[in-house]
Amino acid sequence: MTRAICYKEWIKTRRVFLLSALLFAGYIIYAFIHTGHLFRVEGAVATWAGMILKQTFLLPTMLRWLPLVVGILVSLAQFVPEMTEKRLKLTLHLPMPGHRILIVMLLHGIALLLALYLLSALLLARGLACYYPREILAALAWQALPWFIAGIPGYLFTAWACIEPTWKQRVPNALVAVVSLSACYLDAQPGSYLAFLPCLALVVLIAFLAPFYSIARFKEGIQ
Amino acid sequence: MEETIIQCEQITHYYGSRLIYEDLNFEVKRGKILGLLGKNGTGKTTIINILNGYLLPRAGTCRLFGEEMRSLSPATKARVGLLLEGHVQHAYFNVEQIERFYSRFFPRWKREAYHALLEKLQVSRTQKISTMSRGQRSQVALGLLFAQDPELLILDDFSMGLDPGYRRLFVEYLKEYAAAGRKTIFLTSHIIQDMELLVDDCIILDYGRILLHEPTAYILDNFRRYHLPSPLPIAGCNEFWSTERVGDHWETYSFLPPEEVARKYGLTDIRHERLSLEDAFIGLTGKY
Repeated sequence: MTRAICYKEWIKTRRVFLLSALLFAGYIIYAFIHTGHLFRVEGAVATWAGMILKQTFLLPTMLRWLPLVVGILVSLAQFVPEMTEKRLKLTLHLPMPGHRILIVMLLHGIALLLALYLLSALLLARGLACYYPREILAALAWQALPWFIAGIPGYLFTAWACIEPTWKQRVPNALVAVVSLSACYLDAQPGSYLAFLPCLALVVLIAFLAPFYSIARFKEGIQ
Repeated sequence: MEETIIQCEQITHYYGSRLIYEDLNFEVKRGKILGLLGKNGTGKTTIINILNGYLLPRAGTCRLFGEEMRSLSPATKARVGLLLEGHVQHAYFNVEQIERFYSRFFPRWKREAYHALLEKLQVSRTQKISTMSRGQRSQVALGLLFAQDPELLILDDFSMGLDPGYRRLFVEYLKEYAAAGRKTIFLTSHIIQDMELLVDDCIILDYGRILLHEPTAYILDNFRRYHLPSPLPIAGCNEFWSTERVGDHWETYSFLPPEEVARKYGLTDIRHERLSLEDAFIGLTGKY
């Protein structure tokens, strides 16, 4: 049964998954072109100095938003069809506990995102290793980590808002989501998020539980 | 004594301050086909939502196979086939994918029942459900229900949006299916002539209450329309429904036999006629 739920989720998300993979692929190619350009125009010494002395982020800045956008897209692809014509009733009528169905659905989405994020990060790290030493790569990774993490609660909060049965409640849900996610976008030195990681983990946990609240409201028939 | 499949006790529900029902009670025994009739807004879909645990009523409880609607076990859900209003299905699947998806959940899955029904449609196995007509979608939904082989079918407005051919097809399949396996069916529809062909018992809902819960045959055999020559001496009598002046005579509806109407009210010049279920419904609930 779990496999069948995953099959359904895959049918819904496969196009968005492909699109997201293309977005990341495009970003990676652009990042390599950008890095090569930096080295040609500014020179290796100035580029390295910028990173080490001024903590300049050496990659195209759209990486701040890309994981979040992809997370939201995957969530919309999964949960908008469920709420269209209230098909969620059919899903919850399947002979499986409702909370287990939702867990499988959410884990499917998270697994897709992690696959995209990890593969992209690996490809980026592999390519950038030709230009930068390990220390700079580690600093880059620490800078980008909160943005990648933001993709997961972004996905979960979007699911929360989608499943919520009333528009009146969706608006405060969206506000809570924006406030929570803003914690991932504070300007900070590379590595300064290290101490903040438990808080981010808490945000992810709350975001994971939030859709269950919407499901409970859906099952009460709140309109 | 037949097993009770559906049991609703003292259901009271409001939308905001608008009363939908108060103390609604009914039950459905195994093997029965029960039709829920009512005008728009009397709460037909509401009761289906309550039965399936998608709406918490203000008071009261419903049970399916003895289990409370808010906590149906997976095993009980597997015994219930649900058709949502408008034949809603997971429209992103194609014909083959949706069968593959559902087949994993039901141990008694009858693939051949689904494909036998689908062979009658001019659709390929890779056609997406979202690109199908309403009639074709209804057959996909029905095929999935037959393949699931549930003991109880709950159908919300199954005739909605279907042309007469598809409606007839749906009714004939349902009848055959119910008769073959002693299945219990609980359904609503706006097209009452379809119900007449199908249902054993009728519940007729009025705003806030059940107006009538009787076997269909009893209603068809006993409920009559009377044409009376003059203003009636029956005003305020609760044995007559929807009494109104039509042209130069009066019309009323009643379960009383003609002889009793004539004797009780001293009327001699009365005409009466038997009714279809649709006419009986109009007689009981009024035109407005």
